[in-house]
Amino acid sequence: MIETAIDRSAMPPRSDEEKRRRRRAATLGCAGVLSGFLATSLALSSTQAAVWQRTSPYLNCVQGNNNAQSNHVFSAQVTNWSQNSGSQCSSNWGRPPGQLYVQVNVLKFNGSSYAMCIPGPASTNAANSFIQFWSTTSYCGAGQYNVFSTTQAFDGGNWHGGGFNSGAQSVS
Amino acid sequence: MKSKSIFATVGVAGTLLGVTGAVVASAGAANTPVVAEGAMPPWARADGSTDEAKLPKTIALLGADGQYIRDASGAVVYVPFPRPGIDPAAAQALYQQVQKLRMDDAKRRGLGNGEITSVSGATTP
Repeated sequence: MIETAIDRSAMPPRSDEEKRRRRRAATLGCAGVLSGFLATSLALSSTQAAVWQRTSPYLNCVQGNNNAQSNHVFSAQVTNWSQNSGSQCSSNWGRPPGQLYVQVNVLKFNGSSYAMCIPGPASTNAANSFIQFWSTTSYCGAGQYNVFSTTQAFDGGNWHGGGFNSGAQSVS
Repeated sequence: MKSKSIFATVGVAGTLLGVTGAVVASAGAANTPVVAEGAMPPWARADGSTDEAKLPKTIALLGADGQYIRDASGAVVYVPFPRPGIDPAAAQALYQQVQKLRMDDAKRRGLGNGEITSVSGATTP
């Protein structure tokens, strides 16, 4: 039989030492739970960086953001950023539809190298950025994945960008 | 005392959950070969960009269960490694080629239809 209620009035008062032990146990438990959630969250973070950048005549950046998520959604995003002064690629330089290009490939680590899980078609139909998701129902099993994309933006004269990698990300 | 053991149990369980979470996060599934989280493939620089000179020309293809797809003679099937240029026609052709190979492999090995799907669109930066 499982006892679900405890009658404190039938017990002797707790000593200071007992209270300290209880507080330590509770603190340890909370810390353990939090560290678990934190570690899991870190494992699902995305990789974002400038794929291409120039500083003259203006600072222009083509930025990639690739991600493998725990629910088997793999994505790649291209965003063109620019600002006319300063050193950070932090303000949006929107491009019209057809002037951002992304093609995503999902590669799985097989123990010694990467193998192709899913290659994707290319798309250029977004104005400011573009993101592509893959089905949650059919992928290549649990393991480490690298999302490799072609990430490019057109500045009116030329395409800029290149291949971009998320790095290994665990998918269960 | 039951109340004392409850607190002790909560503390131990919380710690175990934390340790387990950290191990799972860093190692993936128990039987999965491990690479460091965030580690880049040989063709990638530390920031995620690509050294095109190091890209392989072809790459082995996996089926829906993560096993290599093999041809009739048992050899592993390779497909062209996508190049990081503007070539939507080549991307579409590779997509259709892999789609067919995956679906045929899945059907042959009883893995469902093996079909892959995608959704694309715009998002606000």
